[in-house]
Amino acid sequence: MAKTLVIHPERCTACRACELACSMKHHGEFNPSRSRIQVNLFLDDALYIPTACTQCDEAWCAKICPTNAIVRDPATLAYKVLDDKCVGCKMCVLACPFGSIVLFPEKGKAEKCDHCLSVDGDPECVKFCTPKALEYLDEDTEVRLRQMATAKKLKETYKEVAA
Amino acid sequence: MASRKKKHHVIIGASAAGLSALEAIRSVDQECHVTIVSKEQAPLYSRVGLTHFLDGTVKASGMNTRGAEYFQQLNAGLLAGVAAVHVDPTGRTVKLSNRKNLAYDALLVASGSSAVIPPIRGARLRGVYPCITRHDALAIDRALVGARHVVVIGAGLIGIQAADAVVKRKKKVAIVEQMPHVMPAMVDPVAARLFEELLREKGHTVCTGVRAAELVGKAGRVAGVRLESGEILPCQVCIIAVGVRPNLEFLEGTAIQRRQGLLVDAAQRTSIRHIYAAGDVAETTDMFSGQRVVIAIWPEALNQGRVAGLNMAGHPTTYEGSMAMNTTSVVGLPIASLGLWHVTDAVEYRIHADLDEAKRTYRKLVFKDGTLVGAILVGPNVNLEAGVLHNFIRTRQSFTAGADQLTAGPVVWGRILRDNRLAGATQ
Repeated sequence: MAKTLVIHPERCTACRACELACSMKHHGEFNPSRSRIQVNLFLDDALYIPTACTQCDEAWCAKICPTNAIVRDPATLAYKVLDDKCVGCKMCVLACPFGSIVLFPEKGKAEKCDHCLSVDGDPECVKFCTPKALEYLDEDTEVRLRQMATAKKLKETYKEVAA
Repeated sequence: MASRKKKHHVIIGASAAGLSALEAIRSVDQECHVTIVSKEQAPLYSRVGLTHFLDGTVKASGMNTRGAEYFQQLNAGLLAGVAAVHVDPTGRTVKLSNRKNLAYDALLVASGSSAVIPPIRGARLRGVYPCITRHDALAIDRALVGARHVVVIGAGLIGIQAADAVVKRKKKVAIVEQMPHVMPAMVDPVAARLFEELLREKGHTVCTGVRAAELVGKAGRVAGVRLESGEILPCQVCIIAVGVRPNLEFLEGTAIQRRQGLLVDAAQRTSIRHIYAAGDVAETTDMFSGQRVVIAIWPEALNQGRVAGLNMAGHPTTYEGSMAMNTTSVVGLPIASLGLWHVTDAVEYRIHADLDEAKRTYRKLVFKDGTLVGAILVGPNVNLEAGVLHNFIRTRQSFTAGADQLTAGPVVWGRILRDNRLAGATQ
């Protein structure tokens, strides 16, 4: 069943445990700059917004990939990077309008939030999110509606900032 | 439905443009016949991967794009190892190297480009390679094993990536670029200097503003490169990456209009009816300047191929124009350049540039009438905002609240969300 990483910014306390959990799981170190989920901190506004890959239906990163190294898991509908196929060209980095796929030179492979599919399919960030700002849920109607509302907001945001 | 003969479309070239066209055709027409002609033998591979195979990021198989099952799934015929020899636009046939003739209803020329080998003495010595096919990359890979010094002639994207691969293989590289700085079509002199200094710091040689005069041989093998200045750079392997030219020999004898590439309209149609062109062979229009350009990059080949394919299948679609962009890393330092980064006219454009030489970061944004039209990023910002800025440029977003929205710091999605929240809160 399709799964979704649901983010509730209003519950986020900016503890950034998700960043530590993510970087530990995927890089073996506590290093927020290597985390695939980022908590955007705006201390002056008391606003904390975690962002991660949205697993787009039409994923530009996957479409542009010269070696088809970014594949969608048919069960959960999340995308993961196949390391033996990724040549490290960064076309995906240029393509993603959200900056959600990155490449660190020392690893040389693109990486993005894949809901931990490349390890065990059990998102580590969610396990360590005490205030439940992150949830990993079946994509039922309610979640879908929420997503649509967020997507709509995003679209308006885009217009607002860039109109 | 009237029983009409099914259409047959022929695509010459099985890389980004050709395969993108095939997928576009199949997205709207499951019935027509499609044949793809590729002069290279299977497996199909991506040229984007060549230098990353050389640097050890992937094995040779990691360069592969599609397997045989792909063409079955898309119900298309692949003729691999077969070249187009001649096109007869009147009879609408393509003559192939296997002596067969293919009749077409629509033809897509997506035959890509080949390496230019400059007419200098010694260019045919053993140990001298272009770097544009899988065959080249496999040969360089073998030759590098016993080499200690490598010269790369030409520091465009392929040259600089080849040089970076040599560095990763723990060899000493010497780069020869006839223009005043490395990556001349990709970055400005300020950004280029960061990379030149980094390479020199690591013990490599960068010679700019000078040409290679001759490749010096010893017993038929390359032993060095003599520059016009007289200096000799010793090497056991020399990689030539001075440029590419479109593969269009098979169109000789036709009246097709070409300059640098085949002139195409916004539907990717050439001057001859029923013949389309996409990718490195197509001369399109720059989406900002409106000038005729050949922008030989993977993303635009995909875009052009898609537009060509849809039009071939009878679905009128317009190409928005080409946008130059490139990205790579040299000695671990990332770089991305987007759109009109090269303009210097401070009246027409507003140019904002932040350089930190110690940290080796550079962020240059170019605005025209409140619209972001170009950018160069060096350093970690490539990860953060190259994609965001690219899409701002491509979609021609304007920034009425002032360019400061972008110049204040890296544009990350979270910041945009926050700006929106605050805007909503104060309304």
